[in-house]
Amino acid sequence: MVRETVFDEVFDSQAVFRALLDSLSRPGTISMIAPRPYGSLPGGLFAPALSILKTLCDHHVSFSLGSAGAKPEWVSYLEMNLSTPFRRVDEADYVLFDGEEFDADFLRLNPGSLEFPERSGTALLCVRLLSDQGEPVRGRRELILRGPGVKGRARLSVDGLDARYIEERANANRFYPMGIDLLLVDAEGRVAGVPRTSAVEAG
Amino acid sequence: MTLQELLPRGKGFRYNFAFVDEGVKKEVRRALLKAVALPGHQVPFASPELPIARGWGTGGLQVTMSIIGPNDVLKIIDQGCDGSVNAVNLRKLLVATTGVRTTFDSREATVLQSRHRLPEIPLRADQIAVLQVPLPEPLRLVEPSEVETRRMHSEGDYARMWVSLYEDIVRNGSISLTSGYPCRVNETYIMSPSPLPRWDLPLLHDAEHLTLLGAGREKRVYAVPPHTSVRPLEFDDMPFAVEDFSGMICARCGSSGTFLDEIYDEKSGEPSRVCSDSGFCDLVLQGAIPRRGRRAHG
Amino acid sequence: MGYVAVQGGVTAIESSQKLNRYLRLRGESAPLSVNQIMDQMGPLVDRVMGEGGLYSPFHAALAIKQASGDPIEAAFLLRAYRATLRRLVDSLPVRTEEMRILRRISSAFKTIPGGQVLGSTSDYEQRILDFSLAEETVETQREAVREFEAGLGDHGEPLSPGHFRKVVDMLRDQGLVPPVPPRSDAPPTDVTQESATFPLDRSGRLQMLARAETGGVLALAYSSMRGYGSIHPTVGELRVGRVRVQIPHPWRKGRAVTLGSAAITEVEIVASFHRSEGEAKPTFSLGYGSCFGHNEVKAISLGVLDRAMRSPTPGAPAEDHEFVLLHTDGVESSGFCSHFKLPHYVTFQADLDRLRTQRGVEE
Repeated sequence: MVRETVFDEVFDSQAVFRALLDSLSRPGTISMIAPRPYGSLPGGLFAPALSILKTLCDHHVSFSLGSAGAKPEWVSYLEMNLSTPFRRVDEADYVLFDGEEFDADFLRLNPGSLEFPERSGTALLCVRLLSDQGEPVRGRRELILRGPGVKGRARLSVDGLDARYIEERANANRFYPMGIDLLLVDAEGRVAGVPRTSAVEAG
Repeated sequence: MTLQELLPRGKGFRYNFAFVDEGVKKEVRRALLKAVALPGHQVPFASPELPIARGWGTGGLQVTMSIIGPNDVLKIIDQGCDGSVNAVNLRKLLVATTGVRTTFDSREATVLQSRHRLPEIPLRADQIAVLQVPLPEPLRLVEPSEVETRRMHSEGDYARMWVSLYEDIVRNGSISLTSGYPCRVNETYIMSPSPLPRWDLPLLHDAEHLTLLGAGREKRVYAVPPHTSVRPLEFDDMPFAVEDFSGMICARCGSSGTFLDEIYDEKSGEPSRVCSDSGFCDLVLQGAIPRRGRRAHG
Repeated sequence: MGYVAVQGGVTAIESSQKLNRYLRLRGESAPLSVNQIMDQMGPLVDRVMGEGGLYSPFHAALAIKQASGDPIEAAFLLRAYRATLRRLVDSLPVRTEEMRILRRISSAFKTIPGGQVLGSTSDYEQRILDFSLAEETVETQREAVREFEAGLGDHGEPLSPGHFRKVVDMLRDQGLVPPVPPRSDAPPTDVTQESATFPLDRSGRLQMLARAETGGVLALAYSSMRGYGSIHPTVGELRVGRVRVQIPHPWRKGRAVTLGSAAITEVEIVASFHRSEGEAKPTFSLGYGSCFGHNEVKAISLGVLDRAMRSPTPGAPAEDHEFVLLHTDGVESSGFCSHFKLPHYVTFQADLDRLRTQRGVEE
């Protein structure tokens, strides 16, 4: 179990943050997270997901993993590299999920409260591939997004996203301002944001 | 291990990039990501002290410090002017701690921090506006308690705001509110757009750019994503109207479709009008852009 | 506007800084040393440490010198400096029962266990201007110190050793004040590290009060004392002295490391009695105030405000949490007050436009 040193706390964090800010303020737009050559990433954990967590997490917040995909070595690796406590899904600020298969823990995410809707959890869904260009491809899910940040409609193509995440997300967001914000990330560093204000149809 | 070994070594004082430490930036960044997911909602943040006084832009500054990177191009204005003493001071601090390039031409900026104005040239999608906010709570007009205004926002209970505007019309013939006119964002939260003049409010509505707002002393950040509705509160039979500059032109560049400052000549005392947006005015004088005629919208 | 104005702005700021320095130095007096401020302006240093939220007499004295004696400006300098320092660890709760006493009085009882210790106070000095102070020399200074130290005897310093039992604990034994609630495991609120929102818990309120501006809390406490929601306070105990500051041992669990000691003022106010929920009989209520250094007016004011803010039926300004806590931070209030000196041309233009429209006056 090694502490990663290749992520620059100052400049990599700033670049990752701008990508996240862009993605969440323009839902459906893909931003890039530059690859970092992490030395001892546990198997299956996406490097860009680690970069996102390193950017946002410190000892003032907490993280969790959807239990369906979670591995014990991920927990200890992340605790060491984020200096952030691991908590239950319903208590955590940032929760990592495997996008390919629906994880029931998604239903336990904290939607915040009417007075403090910002205290909600944020879900990071790891998917196979994201694209906002080109023609729809068989096997990929097409998401049509409308709402704040979107001019008219935005089309986001996702490979490896279980449809139930989209259905349950709409459910969780029906009592605005309470709700869940999503970040979709693929292994190559593409990230797309779906804030609770987006209306999403599966195309 | 002794305490001495734990303390930072070295003479003098070295600043972190963009001055504030990474812990401060992280907290602001987390708050901003929630803010864009909740357009118009004020997100609390710790807002530690800066070497700049409270009430002088520490909120906008902390937002800029948390988002800016070495390749950004920065423009800072106060009342529309890059040369205003306070803008100069903030620029000094940011440049000293980031080394970023600065500009007076709003078209070149990637991050634009402003006190109380938006540039006359609408911002593009690759530009972020950061507005300095003294009083983020629009409902303070009708309710002094934060606990109560938070409840009002949470329940969308804005009746008292509307009644207050109606009473204003009854008393004064029209709504007396001037700068910082309350707006409904995304048809949900009522927000203070910071003390922008009415003139600038149409620039927030369905904009190409992202607007971030920071109130340091009151410890709140909020946001208006691009392509989001921002509607000043108005009644059907008493629609919102911007300031009236009809018949006036800028004495420097000749434009008639910009927000004009009223100034009095230092020697003669003669009044005249000049563009509040000094950068815009300069570009017209340089011949880089045409002078503006009467503005279409508003 | 444009280039000319930018040069003008930079030059104006630099000229102002030079003028400030000139005004401070042009007299015929020798430059003040930071040590002189630390040694001879103790109460001012203590006030600035408290309002700056940083215990360091040296840095507070330096800030006072830089601010030419303006306490709010000095507190601002100290706060801004504090914000640049890395937080290493939280200390263990300070045990004020173990304070090495410089001064300890109670107004509730004539004699108390351990005795009343008048200590260092100007309370009973006649406020007559002492012109001999204008003639103090190094010789008169040395002689005064020599004379006092000769009279100290075995102690070697003017702090009383020994343990002084708290007056309030004595009252508590008799059931006259409520028992101490069970200690919570939750860490105390830290308004400098997290966004504090109202309603704020008591630890957050006491922290904000400890950093509050002396004049501000005095004014509001005075309003309570004069009858705006009076709590009928008595000073149960006022202590001034040094307390040990300890942190948990980095790797030996259960052990503590002493970093040093800090001077603080602590006041416990005994106030009007009422019956608490679930209690069979009424008790006195308590107010607590403590701050860095020797600052009695502030600590008493804090104790009164702490109790006032816990009134079961709040009405007066001193009882309103938001009113008290949001308006007594000197750095914030003075900053906002000063911000009105910034250009407000555009906002004022907007007001002019509206007024002219409502007056129906043509431009």
